[in-house]
Amino acid sequence: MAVVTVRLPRLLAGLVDGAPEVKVEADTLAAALATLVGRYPALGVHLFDESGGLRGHVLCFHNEENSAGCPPSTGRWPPAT
Amino acid sequence: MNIVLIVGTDKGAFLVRSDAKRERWRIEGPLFRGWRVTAAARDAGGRYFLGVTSFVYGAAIQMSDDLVKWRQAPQGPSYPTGGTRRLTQIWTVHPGVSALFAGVAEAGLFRSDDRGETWQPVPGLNDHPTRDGWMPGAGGLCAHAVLSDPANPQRMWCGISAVGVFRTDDGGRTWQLKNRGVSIAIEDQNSKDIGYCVHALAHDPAVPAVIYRQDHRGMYRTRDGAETWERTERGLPSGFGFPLVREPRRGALYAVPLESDEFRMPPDGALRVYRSVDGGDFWSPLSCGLPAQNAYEIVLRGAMAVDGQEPAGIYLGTTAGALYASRDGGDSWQTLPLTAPRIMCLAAFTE
Repeated sequence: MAVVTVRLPRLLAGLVDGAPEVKVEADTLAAALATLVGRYPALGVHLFDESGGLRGHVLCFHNEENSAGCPPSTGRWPPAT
Repeated sequence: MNIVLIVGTDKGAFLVRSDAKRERWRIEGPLFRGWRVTAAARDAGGRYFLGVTSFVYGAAIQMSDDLVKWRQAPQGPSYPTGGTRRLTQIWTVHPGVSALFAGVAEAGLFRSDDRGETWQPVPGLNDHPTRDGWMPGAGGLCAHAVLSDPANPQRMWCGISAVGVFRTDDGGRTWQLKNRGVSIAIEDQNSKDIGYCVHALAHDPAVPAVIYRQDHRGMYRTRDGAETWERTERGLPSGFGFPLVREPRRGALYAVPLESDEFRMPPDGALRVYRSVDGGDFWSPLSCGLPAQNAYEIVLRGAMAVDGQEPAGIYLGTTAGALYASRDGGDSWQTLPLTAPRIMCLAAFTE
């Protein structure tokens, strides 16, 4: 399983104990987000809205590429970073 | 005994502290830097609550027992996933008789029976039969004012803009609109009971049936628990305004009227607080120490507070980020050493 380094905006740092980045093991965007929120439950309400999807202004970049077009539940990471 | 003000702004919260003299003030913060802080409260056990929100990241309630360590409510107010409602802001946290209540936007009321750890919706209000006709005011569709009757835990009031004042007499199971005597703000085609734009509510918990109401359409008072309302505007330059507070020692009321709902600015460019010492029968201006000219900042509905001391400490924060304090019941004012972002809410506590 890929080890993914998640860098969060500073506004959310207080919700992950102030850590500038968090490492999670995941092969998909959805799994990475699920693992992240599982570890830091307070993040959930700030990443996802009542639609069940990511909030409208929350963007996920993987290796500087916007993952917006990548279906979270199925899209697999490119080679792990 | 010390005083601590929690000043919630567009970009975080500040703690402003003084000793009992209230002459010198110390600024701490910002807490939750970058987050909009929209509500501040403390329960009877001394736990503090902040409503924080972000346009990007949504809203949550933060809690602290010492104003130092904060943690987010594990199960904060939320609307169901898959539904159409969006929770965008915590407007008020109200320590009720037997529970905490949070009024939110999109308008709804939530309760917590475990000091803020978990929150449940109040469906009798959130799914009220008139709900489909609720219209937002300029500040959005928001439940921003909650009052309780300490002698009767079954009775509460909730103000929603631009819908009106609701009252429950059965502990929140059902809610009735109570706006008779108030001028309507937005006509609804289907229901004549909604469309009232309440801006703020205040009362003496010891005499809960007497409620004061700053409304979009004027300043009002009820003497019968909101069955009927009467205008109480003598001495005011305008019936329009947002904040309304009552200090508990002498029962004086404080308001900040604005020049009409069209312009929403201090009349004549002078920031004045108006005080009533007779339960709203007559209002007098207070201006000593407040900007007398070229002042076009306003005070939002949650941005005025009292500290419960004698003589009364009165505090107000403006949209220009200025913070004013009076330690003589409003007779004179000093500018506190803080130029903050837009001040959204203000609360005063002793510690």
